[in-house]
Amino acid sequence: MEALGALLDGFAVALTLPNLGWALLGVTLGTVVGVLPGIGPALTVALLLPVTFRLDPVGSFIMFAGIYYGGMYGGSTTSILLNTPGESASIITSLEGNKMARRGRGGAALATAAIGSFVAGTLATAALTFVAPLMVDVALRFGPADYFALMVLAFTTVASLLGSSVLRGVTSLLLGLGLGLVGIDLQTGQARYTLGVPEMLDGVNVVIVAVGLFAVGEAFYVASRLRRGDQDVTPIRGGVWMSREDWRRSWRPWLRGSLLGFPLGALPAGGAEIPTFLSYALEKRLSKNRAEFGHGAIEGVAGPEAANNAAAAGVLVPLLTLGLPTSATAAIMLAAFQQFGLQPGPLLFQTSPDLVWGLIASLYIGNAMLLVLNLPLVGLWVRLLFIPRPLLYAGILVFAALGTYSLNNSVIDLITLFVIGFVGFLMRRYAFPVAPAVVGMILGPMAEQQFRRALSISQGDPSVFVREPISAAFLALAFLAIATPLLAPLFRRR
Amino acid sequence: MRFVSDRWLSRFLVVGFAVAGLGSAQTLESLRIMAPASPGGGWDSTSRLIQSTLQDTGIVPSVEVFNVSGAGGTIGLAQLASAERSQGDLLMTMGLVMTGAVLTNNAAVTLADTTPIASITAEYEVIVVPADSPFQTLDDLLAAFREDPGAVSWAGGSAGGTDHILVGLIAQAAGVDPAGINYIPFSGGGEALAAILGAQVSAGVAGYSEWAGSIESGELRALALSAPERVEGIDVPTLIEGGVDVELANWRGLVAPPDLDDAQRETLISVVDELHASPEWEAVLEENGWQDFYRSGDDFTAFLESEDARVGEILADIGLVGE
Amino acid sequence: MSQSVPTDTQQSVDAPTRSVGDLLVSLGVLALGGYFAYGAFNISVAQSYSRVGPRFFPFLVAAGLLLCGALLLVQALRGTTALPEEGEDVDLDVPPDYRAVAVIGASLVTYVLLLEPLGFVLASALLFWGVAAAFGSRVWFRDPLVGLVLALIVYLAFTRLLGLRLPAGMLAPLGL
Repeated sequence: MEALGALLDGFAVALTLPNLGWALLGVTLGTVVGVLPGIGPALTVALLLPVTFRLDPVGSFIMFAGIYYGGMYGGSTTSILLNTPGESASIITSLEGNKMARRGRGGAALATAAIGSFVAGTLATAALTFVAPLMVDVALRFGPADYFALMVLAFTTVASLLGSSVLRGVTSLLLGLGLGLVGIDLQTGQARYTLGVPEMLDGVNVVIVAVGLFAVGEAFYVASRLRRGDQDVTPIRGGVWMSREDWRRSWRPWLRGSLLGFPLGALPAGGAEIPTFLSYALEKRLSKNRAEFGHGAIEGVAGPEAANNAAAAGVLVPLLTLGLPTSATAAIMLAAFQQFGLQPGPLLFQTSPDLVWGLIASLYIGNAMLLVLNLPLVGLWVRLLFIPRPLLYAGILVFAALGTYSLNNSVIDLITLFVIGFVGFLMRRYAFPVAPAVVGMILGPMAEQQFRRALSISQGDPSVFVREPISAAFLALAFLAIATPLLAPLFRRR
Repeated sequence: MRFVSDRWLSRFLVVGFAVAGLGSAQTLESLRIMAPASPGGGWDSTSRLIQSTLQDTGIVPSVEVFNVSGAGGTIGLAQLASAERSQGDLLMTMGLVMTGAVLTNNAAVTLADTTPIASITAEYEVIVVPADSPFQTLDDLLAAFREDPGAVSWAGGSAGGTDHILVGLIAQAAGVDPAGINYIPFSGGGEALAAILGAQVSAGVAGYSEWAGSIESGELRALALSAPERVEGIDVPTLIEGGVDVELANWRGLVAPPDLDDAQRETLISVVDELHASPEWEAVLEENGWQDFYRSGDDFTAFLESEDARVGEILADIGLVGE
Repeated sequence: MSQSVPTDTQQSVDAPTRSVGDLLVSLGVLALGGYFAYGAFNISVAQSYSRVGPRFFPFLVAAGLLLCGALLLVQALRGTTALPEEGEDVDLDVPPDYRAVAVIGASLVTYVLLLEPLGFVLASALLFWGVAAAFGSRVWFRDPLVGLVLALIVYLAFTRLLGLRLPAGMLAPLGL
């Protein structure tokens, strides 16, 4: 095992005192910024780049990796407790996580997220250590047609988010698809639905939409129907920690989430959201407690959180082996490599083994640090829910506004946030589920671009989608995912 | 942290200057540089490298960089043009891409509403095919392209960007209608690179340094470079050598708000002159694989006009901008 | 996903009472579909090999919205309505309190207008106060103070430690 020896050398690099310090600084900073919507790991690394210019590259990258992983943790904390996802990959977490928190199970939700992230992060880092070259070969086989088919499969997730009325759920999905159309069409450079506002040319940011629909919309709605008098919300019910039952229900979703997240994260155009969607749909399908979904099912937190973190490690596969940045944070890490005069790509493992293996080793260490840092904090975080409702919601809105404004220092973004928040209120008031809108907004643009790319390369021949084996397989899976629930009753009737 | 150290540094340097007696009318004490893109991109890194070089050399003791991202830089451009009567201490990084973005976005504010200061760096574009592609040379690729333009798919950055412009220019020079190119835009060099490595498309176009790693490791075959002549350190023939009379530099430069008086303009030009002449800047160019592309003052103004016209024409031929 | 008229929504007990709100919402969805259709005609189309231009998906979305809007209108006219979302903090037995919604809305508008002139700290404190008041808090002294302290801490942490730019506004002379 050549990789194992190299990894041990990597640990020798990462376990020095200064590098441990950088890792600790990174994960702490990452957790803090991950808490805020908008200010994610990408922006943080970018802001720190000039500061680290004079540092040693190994230490800098260890810190960046810590920020990257820490950001994932922080994002899920606010998703669960405040229904305010810090970034798009933790949107799904808020669906079940926040419901759990509202039922006094916030501690268990945070714990399953933290442990699931640790398990997934460690498994995925191990996969990164040993099968990265293999993953890359598979990932490069994915063409636009295959990506489109993958998006179609991810769209079936919506079926599990529809709520009580299919019509209302589909309307919400279409609203999200419509929002996703706003901005410059990448394929032809034409502006669509920008209302003549130049800021709209880049489209509407999905984090703004998620925070608007979830957090701001909820603040409006709760204010309109506030339960007066005694609040029967108990921040903690049945202990802070996970029960035996919780463990039993969590470990399989952790493993399944890791299995979904790592390979999908390694796809050059995959992104971290798709595995979270698929994991959620899968857990809902497999769960014995399906009725609990939508009301705080722990599987719905454990799976997507694991998928999210495994995908974060997956993103490093194309970055380190090909120099391919596939997420905003990876793009900035690439810029950082170049700042230090390093060219990520096939040669990096040979030219700078210290750096690469030190970085990989630091991922193991960072993961463990995050677990140690976060588990004791679970009890503290949960106390956020003891805050009286007026102050809690006021605080949420201040943070939502801060995060949104700091995306671009733009008042236009704030106006967008508040308008979408009001739409979120109307949707709640008239019983439209908000989650399909967010899913539609994330998947819609990706699906459209890949669809048109595939057709452009094939010069308009639609048979590419069934001719390519990967694409055909995904489409078949998507068909099964939709058809089985519809057909199952027919079989059962006999 | 950074805030404190910057301030400390600037005080230190101001004192240093006063003692050295260098404070003539031609110096600036502080400068703000707007990067009209989000952190991490080319304009941002150029701005930040200018910042650190200016501060390290003491040409300008205190430099602040801020980002105004959006719409191919045209949001930043609009903000620059409407900046309150300028103190003569504001610059914006821009480049070839912005001339295209102004046209494709139909922006209200154009580069004519700025005071051009200087162009400073350039990068040449490379045309690549996957290692196992049947196209061994530029001629092979162009022969297939002439035969059936639609069958040759080109991967590159966003529609109307430098990569797209280059493919349009090559089509024009090769006698193919630029409106008939099968150009597949990808968001960011990473996705396009994956598509080429996986042989999903016939060829790819990008700035050389973006794909240098995969070219040097042999996973991509570089067929041509868009430079006017061979570039030292890059073993790739130019388009002109390959019989295609096209050169295109993805240059970057600096512009200032529109309402400068002559003295302010002269001061800013002299600051960039000094930057360009410094050995530190030379080192920055080398580290980043950028070419020196210095044109300042009136030279730059004239160059900007000619590039604007050339880009406008080709984008219209491609069919992205209505005439 | 079948688009048939769903039968799984709640038939209100004293049907057919038509809810004006449901009616307006369905008309809103129709209007949105109309807007997307209208907008799709205004997207200019360049020649492309994909045969699917920038208008194709907009038309799909518009058609979907128009269809859903029509079905929602039918439901609203029939008096079929869905139950609003439940939640721990939510009491569905009380009539909606639109005054609270208006107070939050006004706080948000004020925030947008005053953020840059007043600065982040003061505008955020005002927002905090307004939202707390909308939620029925009447501790006039505590709320703005908590908001002010919170905003100040956040402001200092983000501008000093992370080097983010937030508007200083009226507090600029204090050297913040």
